[in-house]
Amino acid sequence: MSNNTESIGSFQYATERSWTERIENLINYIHGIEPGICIERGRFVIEAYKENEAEPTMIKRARALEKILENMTIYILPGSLLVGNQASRPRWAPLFPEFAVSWLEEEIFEKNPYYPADRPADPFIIPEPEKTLPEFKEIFDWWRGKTHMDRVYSHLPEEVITAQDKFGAINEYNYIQGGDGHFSPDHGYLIRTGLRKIIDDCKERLANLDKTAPEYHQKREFYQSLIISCEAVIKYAHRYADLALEVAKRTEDPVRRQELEKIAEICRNVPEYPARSFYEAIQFVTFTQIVLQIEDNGQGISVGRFDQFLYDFYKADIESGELTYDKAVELTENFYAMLYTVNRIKSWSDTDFFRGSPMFQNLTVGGIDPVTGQDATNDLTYIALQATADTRLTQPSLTARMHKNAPEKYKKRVAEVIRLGTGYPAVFNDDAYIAALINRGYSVEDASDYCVIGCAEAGPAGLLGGRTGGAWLNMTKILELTLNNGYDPRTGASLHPNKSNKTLAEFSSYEELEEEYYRQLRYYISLEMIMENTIDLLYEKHMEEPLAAALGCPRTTIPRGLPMKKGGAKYDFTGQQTIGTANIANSLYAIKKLVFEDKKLTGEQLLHALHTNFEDNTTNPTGEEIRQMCLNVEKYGNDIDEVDTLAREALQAVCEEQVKYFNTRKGRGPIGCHLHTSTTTVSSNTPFGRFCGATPDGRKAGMPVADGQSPMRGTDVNGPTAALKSVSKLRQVLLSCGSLYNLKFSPNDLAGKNGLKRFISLIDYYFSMGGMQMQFNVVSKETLLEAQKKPEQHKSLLVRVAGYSAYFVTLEKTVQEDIIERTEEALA
Amino acid sequence: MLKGILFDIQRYAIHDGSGIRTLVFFKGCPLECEWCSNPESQFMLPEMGYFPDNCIRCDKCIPACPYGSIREEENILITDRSFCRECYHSRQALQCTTVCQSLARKAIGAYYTVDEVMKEVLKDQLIYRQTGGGVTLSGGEPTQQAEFAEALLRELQDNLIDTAIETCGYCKWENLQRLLPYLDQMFFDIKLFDSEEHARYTGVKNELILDNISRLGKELDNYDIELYMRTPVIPGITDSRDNIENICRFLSEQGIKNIEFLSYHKLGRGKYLTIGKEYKLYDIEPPAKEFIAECDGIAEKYGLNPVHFE
Ligand code: SF4
Ligand code: SF4
Repeated sequence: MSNNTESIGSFQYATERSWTERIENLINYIHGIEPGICIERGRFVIEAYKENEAEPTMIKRARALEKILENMTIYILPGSLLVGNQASRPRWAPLFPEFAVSWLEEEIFEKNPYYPADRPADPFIIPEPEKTLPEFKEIFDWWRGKTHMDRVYSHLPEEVITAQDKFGAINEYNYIQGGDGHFSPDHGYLIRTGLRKIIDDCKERLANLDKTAPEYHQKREFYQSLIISCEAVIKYAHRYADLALEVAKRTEDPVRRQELEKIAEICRNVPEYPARSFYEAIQFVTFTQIVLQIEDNGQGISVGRFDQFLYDFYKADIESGELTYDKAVELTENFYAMLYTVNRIKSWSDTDFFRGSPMFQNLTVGGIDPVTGQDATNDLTYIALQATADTRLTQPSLTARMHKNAPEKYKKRVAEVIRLGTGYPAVFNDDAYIAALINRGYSVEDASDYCVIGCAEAGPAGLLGGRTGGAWLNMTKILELTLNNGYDPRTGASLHPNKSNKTLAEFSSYEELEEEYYRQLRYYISLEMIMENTIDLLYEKHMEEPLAAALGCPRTTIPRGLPMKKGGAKYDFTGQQTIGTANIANSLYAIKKLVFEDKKLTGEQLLHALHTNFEDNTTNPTGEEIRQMCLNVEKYGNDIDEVDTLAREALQAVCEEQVKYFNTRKGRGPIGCHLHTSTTTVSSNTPFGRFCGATPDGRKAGMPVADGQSPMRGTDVNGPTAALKSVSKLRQVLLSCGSLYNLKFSPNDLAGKNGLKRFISLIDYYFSMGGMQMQFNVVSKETLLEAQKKPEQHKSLLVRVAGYSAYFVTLEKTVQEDIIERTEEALA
Repeated sequence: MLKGILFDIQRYAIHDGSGIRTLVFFKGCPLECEWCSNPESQFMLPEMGYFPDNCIRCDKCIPACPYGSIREEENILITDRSFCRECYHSRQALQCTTVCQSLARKAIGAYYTVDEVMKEVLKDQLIYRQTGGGVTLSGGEPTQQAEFAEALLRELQDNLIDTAIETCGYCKWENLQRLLPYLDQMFFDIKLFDSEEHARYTGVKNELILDNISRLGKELDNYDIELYMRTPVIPGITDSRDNIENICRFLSEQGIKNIEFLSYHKLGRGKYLTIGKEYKLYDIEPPAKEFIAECDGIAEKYGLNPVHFE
């Protein structure tokens, strides 16, 4: 479709960056460090647990955090104006053995499937193995059998385990093997309040508790644990103040010495007291982001509306002359570098679902003002965009909110940054997201103040409790099970037969098949609910997060005396990610056409072809001929109502079913408390595909399924306007947990003023039809192929995987192939 | 019912008129230019395209062809096309395409009613307005199906959609004239000024075309049409200084203002093979950018306004 066959090639490198030498050196320094596993946290958690055996979990967890923050290695990065670190080295992942150890034990000691340093993607080195391995062993020995994961498995009914581990129809490893995360701390409130005030407030409430009340102990533990945690964070900051002075003494360069002294002064003030300047506010936010990711290893601790909650500080400092625009850019870029140092190691099997070690620290800019409803962009909006353009880091992920009256200048800047090819920012449609949130019970003001949390989930910072991410739902697998009467051809296991007890070979009408599919879907959604309740129950009993209560939603948790997992947040929902809308629509439509309308095939012929992966040449038509028939039936993504309708119905059914279920916080305070749906995929479409046999859309067994709500790759052949229209037909307003639509563009498609204008028109077009979210891969195919061949030359090539960006060369081959294959929506 | 034969409706076109547009490709053209980038547009009936990359060698087409034109030779499928024209005219045309599941053999060209075309083009109506785009009738040669073109254009105007046409200008004046009230933009080709040369490379002489241009020049004021003349710059064929000068002089004499020099490109080459035609210009390379600029300079010299749609 493209008339312009020449590729610009390595587009990303050709553009100038305007960063300072300080930032350039800092980022190069971090890039030079290989990710590794830091054992320190694992060591201190055990000590704290041993010392506090008799204490309730809340206190035990607070004491563990205290111990870690007091004893962990701290450092100041060369030239950095900000401090705070999660592990002993940048990009090293701390150990969270209380969540799970078995997988890491297997990986380290059995090399099953890989020794962490030898993984084909996202490897982690183990420093000084002779010294550390015995200690790893000690840690594993201590935790074996009593981790969160052990508890989850001992609680889960067999059918849920089968559905996850055997079928891959649902999956929640992320929260079985780790913590929740997924909220945006109340940064705006915290930087204006300071932790001392929170501590004082807790102390007062503690003193006023009615000791005879039945809930006394629970409240006492709550307030005490918050006090311990906040004091620990203040002390942690003071450690940096001491360190900065110490380093200053040894520093000869007088300018750097002064900077270090300034750091010391700032760390004495924040986070204990309110920030007095933009600089202090950013340091405060840095501490908050990092300590939360030491308490728990949940991802998606999101920055929130950076340009909104910091703007007063920025404005005051600019007016007083203390700050310049350029200095604010430098501080923001330094802040990005700090977020980038945070890392997490996941099991290899879960890494499959989350390629490129994403931490999902999402930072939101733009959008409307929650009170006036008018555009709220300001200098900081452009500064944050600039920082992404300059640093080109995988973290933080950047979200640009758009709305009907967004300034053209802003749209242009957003388009320019997207054009750089880092995959950021993703663009979000205020008009659709706000409506979706209001539909779930948010007030207009709170909905309008949403930021993006994690991947594409929306909610207001400080008001929404965790669990925006939950179980994945692999719709393609559920269809496969339906076609086989509940039997899984891959494993030979059987779970839930169709009501009619029929397979595709026996269905008498398309309607019968559809009915059975939706019945199976409802069954697997009910299993998701069991999974969620189990995990929530165990989080609340054993994995309390006192610091998250203090920094996440302090304005409601503290008055209620409840952590988020017990109902401490103003709003609370459990998000469910749904994968493979396109495969369902295309497969159902293919069966409808080929078997029931045009009668080109019998159900039996098609089922046999699926079982034999379209490879049986002895049939008439042959397997391959059947596959061609399947491939050439109309596909979702081409603006064809007949098949787009099936996509809408498939996704709508999930949304409407999930919202019927309530989570464990129901009736305990928050608004909402039910499941709701998103289409965020991350890279799960590749491992989920491996669980699925051949499908009637012509997809072969084991191949990736479609990501998010995007058309199946390579099947949207009518150009971007047709694809956008198809996708916009889904009732996206029901996707209150988030919508994900991935588009790939070549940089040459976006060249010049007209390229930018067209690009913006397409975004406007999609959003004017009710589209919620778009994200982009902007690289030429040639660049990607080249990068596969010469990875060493393309180390900083960022691609959008789904919901986040990753360095292309760190991705595993099949994911790389998947990205290359994704339809190149030619813009020219 | 009134039907037209089209070979494609393509959305998201950005090179043919302003904004984001939908192109409606008419099938059938009185010219047969050697450089044509849409050779499948020339013949006015559905014809068979063969795309060997899609072929899965099921060999179902071999017995399906009533003329026995398809055979296997050294593991390769050969189609002897000498009977295909006859087949296109017959009642049971294109049997080979009906058995092919993989779209390796497919019919190029189909009959549409105005409503069926409208259903497709209305799908993007919102973006036409957002980008100043619309619908372009292209080809092939829309004036060959003037009644259908007129009905379609009228319907488009009724839907407030901006319209454009691309024409080679080789038609009865009446067939062009009847479309004028419904057009917002017109792209009119003027390829070679010398009539003999014109006949040599396009198959027809150019008097009719030049005559239509003259009439258009006189009547343009009665309509609200942006007219753009177009000259494809084909090295060794249309790119002589004489030809460019003559075209520009002639246009300026007719009171016509806008001209676009289009660079020859090779993108149509592959299509010749798929419909069994021979491509004659294999040795030609696209002209240098500088030469296009030179052409623009000549146009300016004659008081014309050279334009380039991106
Ligand atoms: S019918 Fe189609 S796929 Fe089969 S051999 Fe003929 S061209 Fe190839
Ligand atoms: S177009 Fe007609 S003559 Fe030509 S190969 Fe096909 S069936 Fe045979």
